[in-house]
Amino acid sequence: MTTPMHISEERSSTGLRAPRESWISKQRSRWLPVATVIVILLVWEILGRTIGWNPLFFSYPSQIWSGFLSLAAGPLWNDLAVSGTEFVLGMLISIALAIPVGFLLGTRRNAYFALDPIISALYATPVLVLAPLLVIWFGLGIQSKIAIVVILSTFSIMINLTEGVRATDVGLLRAARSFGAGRWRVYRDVIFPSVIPYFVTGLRLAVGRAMIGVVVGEYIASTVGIGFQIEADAQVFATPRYLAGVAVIVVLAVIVTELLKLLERKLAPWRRLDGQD
Amino acid sequence: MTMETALTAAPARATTPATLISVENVTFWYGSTLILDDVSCSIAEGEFVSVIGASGCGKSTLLQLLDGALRPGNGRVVIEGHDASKRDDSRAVVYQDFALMPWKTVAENVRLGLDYRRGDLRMKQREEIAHHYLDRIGLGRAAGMYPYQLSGGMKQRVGLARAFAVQPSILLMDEPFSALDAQNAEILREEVRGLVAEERRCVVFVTHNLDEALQLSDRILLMRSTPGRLAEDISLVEQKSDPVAWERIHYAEYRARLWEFLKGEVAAHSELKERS
Repeated sequence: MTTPMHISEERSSTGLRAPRESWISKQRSRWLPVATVIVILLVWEILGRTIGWNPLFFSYPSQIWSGFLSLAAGPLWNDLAVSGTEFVLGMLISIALAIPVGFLLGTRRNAYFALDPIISALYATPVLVLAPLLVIWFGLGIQSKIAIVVILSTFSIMINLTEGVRATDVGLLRAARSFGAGRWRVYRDVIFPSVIPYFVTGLRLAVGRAMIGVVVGEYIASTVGIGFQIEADAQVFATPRYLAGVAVIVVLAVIVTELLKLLERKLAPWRRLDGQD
Repeated sequence: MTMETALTAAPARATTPATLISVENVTFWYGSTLILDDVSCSIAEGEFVSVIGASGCGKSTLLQLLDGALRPGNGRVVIEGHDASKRDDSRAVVYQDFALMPWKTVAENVRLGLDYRRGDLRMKQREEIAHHYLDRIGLGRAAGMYPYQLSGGMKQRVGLARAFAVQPSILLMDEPFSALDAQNAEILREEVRGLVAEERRCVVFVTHNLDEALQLSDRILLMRSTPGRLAEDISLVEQKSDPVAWERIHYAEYRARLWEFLKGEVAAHSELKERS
């Protein structure tokens, strides 16, 4: 990337340079969150060891770590493989459904007027109440969890895509057409790029909902998966293992969210450079 | 094809310049609101014509009709013998808000029209043309930057380079300097004057700024508002042929005449707004 023209290392007439920002100050967006987490874990650990709450109902980081090691030596990787498959397939189906419908609603006013109230209502409804029905329809296997992920996450992506298409700058559309862009090039050069941030926002929301879908689906009816494992450990008051399962989900959620941020930076570098992310 | 042959100035003005733009009894409604009412005018090759009027008089609508982005309700707009709605390579627009693609670099933005219109040129040739105009407007070093890294003045330079790069016979400019600070606007006016003179393009220039119109134009179209009608068609060619007399005498006279007209229009417009 070319260095912006206005950024240069200039000296004043007396030979002074602009004051330099320290490394600690410059990198605070990186180290501050890490420091916060470390402090919380330390306080939690100290409280856990000193207060002596009932280990059936409470645990603290070192015990949870032991729980994690026990999980990792046992069913964790198989559970993660099953839950991961449910998550990935569900998300892929959601994206495949949301993209065409989202673009249709964004570009066709009649379709938008006809379908928007239904989609908004479905998005706002806690569709998890349908989970037992989906288990009856699709069985105890991964199909029912995939179905739950799809109905939970599709609308986030769809609604964001629709809004993105509708929010495309009319001035840019007019300029592209005026300079001779045909329908495909208008999509390629104007609509698709302006929709990217909305699409990634939809994905981020969808990821959270999809994870809830996987865990709750496995909670309700399953014989394998991270949600099932959490439920099984909770039933027998194996609190450290139970919380270790929750921690695994938290860590995975953070990793997926960070990957999505990375994807947005890759797909929309002008936003990153603009400091909008 | 070399870049030299790809870069062509508009043909030199003949003794009787050909009519490039013909607006014939154009009426335009936006919904049920009448925006333009029976507007007729013609603009010849190489002319620099400014359109002036109060806000809401339909100046920008007229420009969009000339660009073919809008179609008249009645009447017709003919560009180089064809209906204006037929997309061709004759026109390029410079927008008030720049309309640069934020996701494209400066060079890619300048190349935009060439990519769409000049598929016959190889990418390297299109890039060379884009760089020629970027250098011409002093932004050669900014080719790899994104629009957000530029100041308003630089953005509008990119907008100008993009329009000139497609070498249109007609340049449509919609208040191109109104979003800029006074110094940048002045500098860009000079640039435009130079580029237009060098390339001999026909320009239709919508503006609120009387001095801008008087400095740059061969003709000024004055528009009355609500609905938009053509009130006066003022030619400055004869007066400008004597630069000393133009600066010492006529400039102030014309400025006063234009201001008198606009003042009345703005007052009438405000009164109408208050009543409604």
